[in-house]
Amino acid sequence: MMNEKPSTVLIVEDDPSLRDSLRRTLRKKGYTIIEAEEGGQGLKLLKAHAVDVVLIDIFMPGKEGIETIQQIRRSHPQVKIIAMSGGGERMYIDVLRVAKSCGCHLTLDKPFSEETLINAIQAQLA
Amino acid sequence: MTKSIRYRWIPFNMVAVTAVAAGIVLFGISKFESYLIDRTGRELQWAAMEIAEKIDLLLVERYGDMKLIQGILPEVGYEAREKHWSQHFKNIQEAYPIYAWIGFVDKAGRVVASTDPAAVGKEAGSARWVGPVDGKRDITIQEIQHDELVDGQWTLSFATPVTLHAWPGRSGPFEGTLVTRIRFSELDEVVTRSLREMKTKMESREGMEYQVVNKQGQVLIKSRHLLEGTTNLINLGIKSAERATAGEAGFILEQHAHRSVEVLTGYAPIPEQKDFPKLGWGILVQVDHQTVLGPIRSLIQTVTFWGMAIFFPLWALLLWTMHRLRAEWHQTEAAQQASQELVNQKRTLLATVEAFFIQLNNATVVAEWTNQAERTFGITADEAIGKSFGGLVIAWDWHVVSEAIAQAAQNRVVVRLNKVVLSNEGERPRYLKLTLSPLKTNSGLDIVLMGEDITEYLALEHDLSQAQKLESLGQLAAGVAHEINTPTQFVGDNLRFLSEAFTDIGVVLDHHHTLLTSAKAGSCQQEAIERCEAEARRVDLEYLQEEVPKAIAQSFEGVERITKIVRAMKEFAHPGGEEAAYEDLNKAIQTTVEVSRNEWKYVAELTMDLAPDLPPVFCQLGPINQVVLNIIVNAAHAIGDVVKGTTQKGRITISTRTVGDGVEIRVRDTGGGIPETIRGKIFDPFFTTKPVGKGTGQGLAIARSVVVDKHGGRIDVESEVDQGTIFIIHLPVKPREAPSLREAA
Repeated sequence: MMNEKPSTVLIVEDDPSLRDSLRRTLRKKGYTIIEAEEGGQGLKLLKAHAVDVVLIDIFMPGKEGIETIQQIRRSHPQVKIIAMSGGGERMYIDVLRVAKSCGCHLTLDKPFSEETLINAIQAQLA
Repeated sequence: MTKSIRYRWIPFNMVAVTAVAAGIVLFGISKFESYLIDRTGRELQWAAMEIAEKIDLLLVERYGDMKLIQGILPEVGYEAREKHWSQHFKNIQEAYPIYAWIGFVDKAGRVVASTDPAAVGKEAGSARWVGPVDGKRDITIQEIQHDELVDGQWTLSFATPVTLHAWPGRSGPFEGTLVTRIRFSELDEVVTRSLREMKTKMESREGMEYQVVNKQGQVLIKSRHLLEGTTNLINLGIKSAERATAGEAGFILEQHAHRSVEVLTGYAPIPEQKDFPKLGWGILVQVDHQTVLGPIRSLIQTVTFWGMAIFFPLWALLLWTMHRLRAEWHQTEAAQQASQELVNQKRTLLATVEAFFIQLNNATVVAEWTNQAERTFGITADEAIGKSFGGLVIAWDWHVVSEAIAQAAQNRVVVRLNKVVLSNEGERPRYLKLTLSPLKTNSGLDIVLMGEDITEYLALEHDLSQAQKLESLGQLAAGVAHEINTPTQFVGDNLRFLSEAFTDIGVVLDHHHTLLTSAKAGSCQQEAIERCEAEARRVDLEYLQEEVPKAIAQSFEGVERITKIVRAMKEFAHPGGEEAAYEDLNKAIQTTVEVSRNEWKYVAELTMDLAPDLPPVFCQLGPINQVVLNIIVNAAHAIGDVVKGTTQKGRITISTRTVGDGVEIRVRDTGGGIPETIRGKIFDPFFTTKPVGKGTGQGLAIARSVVVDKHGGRIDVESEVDQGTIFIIHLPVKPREAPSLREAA
């Protein structure tokens, strides 16, 4: 399945452990991985690299996930965005639903399985 | 309601009494008047009779004189009559000056002898002196006469025939007439003198009048004016004159003959004498009716004056007093009404308010028992009032209530019992809040017991508290889920990675084992070595060697994170029962910070400056945790509002320290602060700045309730707009001595 054109996934996640584990999982599947700790850094990397899919955590310090999603939608409309969140609500707002309404293509509720993640990315790439 | 009594009949009564009194006085006066008239009339009658007698006596004397003179004339002799008789007459006149004139008129009517020498030889008038007398044997009296013989003086004349050589009573040739004339003024003198005498006897009577009338009613003598005109009283219809001339004596009230006044007249006839011509005169003595009534008038005047002087002021005084009394009565009535109204209002008020009131005389006997009290205890006012309070069947902790009553009465302080359980049979237990106030009264010291059924309130409070707890728990759950889900995610991923890595490494190891076996056999095959290396490359052994320890370490860390959060959650939610105990607040704060990490970690750095020597504090940890959590979450939200959209982070600082007998927890944030306008309301229940439907607005209200009401602590807030807010919680280290009793002076 992995051919000469490996897809590039940008992971935007503040938690290094989660970031590493995601990287390991995706690398195993042959994706090219770029990592960012927060939204601002992610946006910079987007400009430097050809990214196919952005996997982004909604809650992060600095630029919040939702804001970053909106900016990516504006600056790189071709990039697919998958949002991740650990909880359904925070401050009384269903953030995943908000993320979706902001233009994110798919949402993943933690914890999710490897298959779910890979299927999600594959679905976006298809 | 007292009925108004107006005494409207009092003025009428007074008028009636006055009328009766006036009637009695008038009756008395009229009685007195008739008595006076009767008495005066009688006096006047006596006066008239006395005068009549005197006149009669005078006339009888003159009659006797006449006989005497007549008898002497023959003695004197008939010769030189003008000389001797005249002398004789003169002698008599000198002896009796009453006589105006004495003379002898012959049958031709000529004066033969006279006391006045100048009259001798003059014509005296036979018509008067001869005709009427001739042939008569007795003396005739000529009543009123005046002529030149007596110088025009009014006289009363006696005339008797004289016969020659014959004695009176014996017949003989008529010679002439002997005439004696007495002055009326002499008669008048008699009347006036006798009246004067009588006046001194009678009470002095001014204006007394008298008349002497003849048989025909002609006035002969009249007081003050003698024979003025020829008034005939009988013709004028004067009854007294009629009666007197008819021979009666008496008194009568009648009209005055000339003046138009009423007079009281006493009348009497001249008594009839033997051998004396019947004159038929009457004597009238009279006074004005007014004069009679003089004393009565003055009496009436006196009575009237004193009546006016005493009665009217008295009446006025009475009326004034009545007026005053009435005014005062009205005032009293108004005051009574007002006080009744107050009582009613109090009753209504007491019946309206949710609370019940019980008043205990001298802290024992029930004096007041309101409707609410009836409802609360199922004991009617009739059953309770007058009874000893302690004797009533009330299913509560009498020990606590009695002690509170005693305390209120002895120390004269208001005692509050915040939660008294009332367990009426067959009902769910109810909670009462009692306030016992000492009340000084005239009879001693009463206790007013005000009570409130706070069961519903407690239930509501409990509900709200539960709601808030759920709210914060829900919030925590979301955060905790996030906190747990992330490590779960990567621990799971790592395990999968490790599992696959182990498989890969196993394959490499298999090849290595083959290689090792062949090497032991001494046949080190190049092919085997290459297969090993190819396999190691295929599985990216280098990468695995690098990543596997990392994955394991991170997994440990993930599990550690999960463990920590779960433990904190457990500690937060179930800090060890509902009972208060001495607790380590520092540890509690750390726990709370942990469980709330998700709330603040994206917006703020959180630092803790916890005093290591903080003493254990007697408290219920669960509620205290919730308070700290609420404040941390509020702080995070306040900072979140400020740093939203930036890469900046705020700061939350939590510090503890010992202050006096208590400890202080300060939670400081660098949020936007609380505007002055709402600072006073933040502890009010249901106050929230969050959108409708989000947040119950109970967080700080419950915080206040927990800190102040449950723990006797204090919660203060210091805030500056754009700078941040500090919540300061002060908790006493030791429990209050009597947790359910609180006193106030």
